[in-house]
Amino acid sequence: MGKIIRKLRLAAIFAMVSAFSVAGAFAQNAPYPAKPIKLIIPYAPGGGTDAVAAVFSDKLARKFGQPVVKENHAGSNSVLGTALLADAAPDGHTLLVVTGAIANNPFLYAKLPYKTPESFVPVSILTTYPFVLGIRSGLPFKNMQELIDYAKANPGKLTAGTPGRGAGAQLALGLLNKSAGIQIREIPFKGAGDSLNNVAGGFVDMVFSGYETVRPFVESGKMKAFAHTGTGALGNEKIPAIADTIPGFEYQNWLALIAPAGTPAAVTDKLNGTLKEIFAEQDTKDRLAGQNIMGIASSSTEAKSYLAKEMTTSKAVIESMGLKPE
Amino acid sequence: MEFLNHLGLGFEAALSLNNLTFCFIGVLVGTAIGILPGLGPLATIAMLLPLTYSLDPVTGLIMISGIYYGAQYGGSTTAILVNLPGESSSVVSCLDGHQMARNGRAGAALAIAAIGSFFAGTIATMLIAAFSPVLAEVAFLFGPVEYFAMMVLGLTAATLLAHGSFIKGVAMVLTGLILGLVGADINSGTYRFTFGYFSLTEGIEFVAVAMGLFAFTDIVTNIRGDQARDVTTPSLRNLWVNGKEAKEAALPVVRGTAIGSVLGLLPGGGAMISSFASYAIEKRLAKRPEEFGHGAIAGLAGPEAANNAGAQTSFIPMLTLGIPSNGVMALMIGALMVHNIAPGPYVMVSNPEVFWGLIASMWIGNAMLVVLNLPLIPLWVRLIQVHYWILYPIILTVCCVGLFSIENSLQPIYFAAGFTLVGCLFWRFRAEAAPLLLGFILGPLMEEHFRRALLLSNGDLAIFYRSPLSIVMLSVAAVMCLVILLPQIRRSRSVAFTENA
Repeated sequence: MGKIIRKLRLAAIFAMVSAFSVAGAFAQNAPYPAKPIKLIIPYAPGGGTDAVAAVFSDKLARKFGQPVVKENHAGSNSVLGTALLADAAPDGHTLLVVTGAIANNPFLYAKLPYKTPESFVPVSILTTYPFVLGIRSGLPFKNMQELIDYAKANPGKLTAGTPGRGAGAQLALGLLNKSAGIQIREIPFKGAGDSLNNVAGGFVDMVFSGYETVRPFVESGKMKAFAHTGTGALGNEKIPAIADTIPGFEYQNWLALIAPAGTPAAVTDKLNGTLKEIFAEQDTKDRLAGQNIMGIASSSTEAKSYLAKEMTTSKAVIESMGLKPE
Repeated sequence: MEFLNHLGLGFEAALSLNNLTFCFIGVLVGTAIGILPGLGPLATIAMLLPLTYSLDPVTGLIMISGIYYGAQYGGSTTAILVNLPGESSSVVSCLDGHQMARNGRAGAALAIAAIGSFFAGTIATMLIAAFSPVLAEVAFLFGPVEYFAMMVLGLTAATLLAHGSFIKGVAMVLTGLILGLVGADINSGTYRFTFGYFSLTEGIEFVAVAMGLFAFTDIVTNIRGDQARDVTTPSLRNLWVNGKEAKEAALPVVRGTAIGSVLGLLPGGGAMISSFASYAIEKRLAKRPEEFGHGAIAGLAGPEAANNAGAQTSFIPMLTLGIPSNGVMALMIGALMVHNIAPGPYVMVSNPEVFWGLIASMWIGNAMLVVLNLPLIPLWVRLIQVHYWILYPIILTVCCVGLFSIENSLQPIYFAAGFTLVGCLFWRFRAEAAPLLLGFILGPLMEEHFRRALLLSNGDLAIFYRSPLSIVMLSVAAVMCLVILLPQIRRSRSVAFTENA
């Protein structure tokens, strides 16, 4: 009985494989996209990644004349969703929006179910944006220098909430500790929301988070938008950059669109060109500006070298924080 | 009146066509499920959870809560017409409700149950709307220390008030805590008990646990025999309550509402205990207690109002503190967490449309139920007569599709199958599975807050008795444990329960 089933299963697999290869042969000649595109978001619905994806996915669908279906697969700092992409057919019908986490994970997870960057073709860097350092309203500091002086005089006294292992905000904190030579203690949370609430309640001293997530707490007076990790002054409040106090300090979070390795260059080129068109449109710019985010739409080659550069930076910061792959 | 503005916001959310539709689906499914003996709201909600993943959080919650209070209504229908409690909370309604039906007053009994429940639901909704903001002010007083203390209190109370053996309750909570350990450790990222499976790094899928322990286990245990049912078909001409009956029902409904509203707030309380308490009180207050058990209107009206009020107010601890007072509320917390909404005092601040939309929908749902319940009675009567061999394969198939759709993988189905086996064992041992689910959900949160508190204090345990809120909650939990361990009080507790049952 078992043997028969095994034989049947073999036959079925054979039939499926041949069906796929025939379909594959057709696909090479078929124009891209030939069917709906699946866009994987490796985070829970409603987060910042979703918001940016929403800006361009509708337009992509309209320009391609094929639906772009968003699927959220959250878990393990984006590893679960990323693994799904690595397993998908490299035909451009499955794509993934990643954050800076993809450059951090190789140094945090010992057994990733994919290889970075070999398993992927970066299509385009979509956006970069700085984190805002929000501090609880009870803290007396007037500027970054005062905060650093206090932290130097009282090592380990100040605390900072992070959204968890490998998130950009955790690295931003690590970078601040490293470059200022101070020791702000990390308090990990599950997700940015929880860490923000604890700063607002006064239980944790500060948090690095996106501008949009900090703003409601600043407006209700529970938090101060103290500094940010980019360059220049940010937003209507003219939030100063940390770089004004620590020259050269910069941490940008970023989003990129990636495809599985082996996706034909014709496909990534087409995607890339269409994204460039979309990001050049005024209402795309307006919608991203509303979130204080800058749209980029880089070329595939630029995206590749950006990822490589980010991996080098991440490795250095993660090692300086004493984190080891688990 | 700030709370009127909030209610306005809530009604705006709840009255959208989409939300109204799901509210209607919820109460309809809930009523159907409540009517079918054996299948409870816990099982149904566990089945429908995967569906809510793709809905807006507020829409998903509106549907789930519709099922929950719809089941309370439906349960009474079966109790009155068939003398089978469709729901554990409608056990009491069998006593006098079915007797009324046998005396030819089935229509009146159903009407009293529906109207009494609607009244209770309206009052309870207003209570939720009025009191929740008070608790929201407390929100920013809750940090890791206070959360930890509150969860210790919640788990203790849930174990204590669960029916059945105390030791078994403790054992179930602890089993839940252990199951909750699976997954990546939040501070270090170390994997615990994942046995090399990457899909376990996020923990065991909670829907699979809930479906296995409740939905599938219910089916397996019910399948042993298809009971012949003696259905009293009500004559619809007799639907209207006469003046004398209305007068007799009025005060018990008010008292039942009050009792249910208070008991619903307690962890482990809610609908069932409320209805028992109301029945006991009505019997004591009655001029002719000998009528109870022979169709006394007060014996139906009071408990019906109480179980509905209790079902409603049990939302308060869940929505404002993140503490589930029963299994359904535990599932609701799970549904919120899927949408990245951490249940607790912050929900009101961070997601006001979810919070107030849900509250407004409760009232709308209750109104729908009155409209739905009376004309559809003949249909419900036919539903009771559907055989399990038709019903169960359909339910099982739908459940498996739902489980598969969570991650597009078969793994949750295997897990649900495993937990069904475990659930059947629990059923044989007469151990209630709800405390396990509470432990499973609250355990990881408790650990998270405990360790975060210690991180903040640099490992100094004194942080737990430096906060007055935490001291109060931890001491209440300790006193509760002491009380249960004193043999004399334990004896009187079991006596109290046999008297009621």
